[in-house]
Amino acid sequence: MNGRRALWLAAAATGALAASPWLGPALEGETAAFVLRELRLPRAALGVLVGATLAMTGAAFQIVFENPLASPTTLGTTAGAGLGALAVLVFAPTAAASLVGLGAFFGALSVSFGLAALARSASLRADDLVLAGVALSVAAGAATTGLQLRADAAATLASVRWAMGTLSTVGWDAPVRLSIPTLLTLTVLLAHSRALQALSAGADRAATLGVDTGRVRARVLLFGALGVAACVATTGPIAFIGLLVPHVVRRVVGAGPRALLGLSAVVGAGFLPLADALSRLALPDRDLPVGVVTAALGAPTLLWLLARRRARVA
Amino acid sequence: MRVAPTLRARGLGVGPPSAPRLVGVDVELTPGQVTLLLGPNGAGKSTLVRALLGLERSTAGAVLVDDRPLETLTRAERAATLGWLPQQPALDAELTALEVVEAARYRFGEPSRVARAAAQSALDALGIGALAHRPLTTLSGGEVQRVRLAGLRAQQAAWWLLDEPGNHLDPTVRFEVVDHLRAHAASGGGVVLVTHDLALVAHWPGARVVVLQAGRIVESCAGDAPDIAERIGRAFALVVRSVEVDGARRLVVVGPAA
Repeated sequence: MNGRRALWLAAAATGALAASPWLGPALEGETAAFVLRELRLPRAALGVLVGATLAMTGAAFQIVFENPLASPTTLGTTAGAGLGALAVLVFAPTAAASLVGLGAFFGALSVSFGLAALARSASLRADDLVLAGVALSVAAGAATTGLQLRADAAATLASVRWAMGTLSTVGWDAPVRLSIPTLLTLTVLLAHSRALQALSAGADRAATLGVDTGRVRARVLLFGALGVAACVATTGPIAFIGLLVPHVVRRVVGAGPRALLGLSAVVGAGFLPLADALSRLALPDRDLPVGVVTAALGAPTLLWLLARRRARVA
Repeated sequence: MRVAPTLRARGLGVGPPSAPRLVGVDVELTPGQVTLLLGPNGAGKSTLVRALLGLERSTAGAVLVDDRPLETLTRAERAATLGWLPQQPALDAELTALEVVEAARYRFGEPSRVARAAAQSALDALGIGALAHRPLTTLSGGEVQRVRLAGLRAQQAAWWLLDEPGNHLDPTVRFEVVDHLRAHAASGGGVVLVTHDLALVAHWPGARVVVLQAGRIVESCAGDAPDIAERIGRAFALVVRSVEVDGARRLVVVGPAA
């Protein structure tokens, strides 16, 4: 790990987080305190929890699946959530928003549980698991499309809206509720960083070092999915954080799992609130989905880092 | 280090009957000695090593560690008994040397400060302490192999199973690897070395030679047997001659057998 670069990265993330509530239409007049306390700060808190969870889970998934493309999105967790949310919107159109979240939560978990059951049998190769995750993702996506055909226009629109992802929230209920599963996920994943370090050399090698690879895989998958499912249920899917943040962190400070997981969480926690604030700046009167901003910022960043490394190698 | 256990394969079979990869392998490996595992490509050398490590499901027979079936050992016991230096390029090349070696301390369940100190001293012992914070991707082939050896040291397993560790290395580093293995055996540890390097056989007084072919053991003898050249030649279908160079015996491959 590169200690000085790690400090710079953590400082930048903290700065981004600190700046995020102040970006956007100026806070003045008597509503200023209310907007800050009940809207912008809870939003930032939500961004911290969701950003940290998505990013750290992505980092952990990439190690246990031995695949740089592994993330909650590519492994079907997000697609499962989308299906669950739509199912509630279609079959219980009058249901409260919290029930939609519950549907998303169980949709995400059931896909991940299926994958974890496969992962328990250590004989399955990591590549096969990724493939199984992609297959589950495609299946859930197809079921979603099928369900949309049955749905009326209102439900379809609501599900499309939901699938854009947003941090919009009023008051502290959502962040407080979300803090329990996400902090659990972050703690459990970090506690596995030693096993993940051994797993970095591949499952066979880790097994000869004394790691119960099947169990570690299943636990990382389950607890990662728990946190991600809770996030997706609250905010809808948010693109790219789980996939991109770990890669950015890896290029800057190296691949040691402890630092990688910890800093991914820190960077995710700074990046998502900043992206949310920027979406507020970009279209002040419309709610621009934050996933658009994360993708717009994240994709070029990763491409730039890749190109820079190419240049250094050449 | 406590005395290493005896490692034994008894009637070991791996793979389905239609396409077996190991058939009826009987071999007893004693610690304090280096066993050279030879054989043509695809003969089952790596499969045997993986089976001894418990990474291959056996379809017949058993692997015994001091008469205990390998499956009855706990994961930690297994990691204390058998250390592996695999052949395939590792996935952990983005880690630093220190992180790679630290991972080998997993079985001790110690605080990471202690693990890091142990890893650093293993790197120091291999003379590459200064490279501790360099990612493996930035190291030369010889330096990477030294990091791997430091990992084996740090794991403190009784047995070292190495799959062609000398591949792609220059002769100097190759002999250096040999010295480390010899030292481990001399201190009572066990060494199994998969290699294509016939020169090692004669270079290694007191070594045991086991030759595999098509999943079976076809030759098992002392490395300094008087007819070692003929025995190896027969197993490989090669003409192998034993020659003396500066008073030392060397095996020379003349060409394919007629």
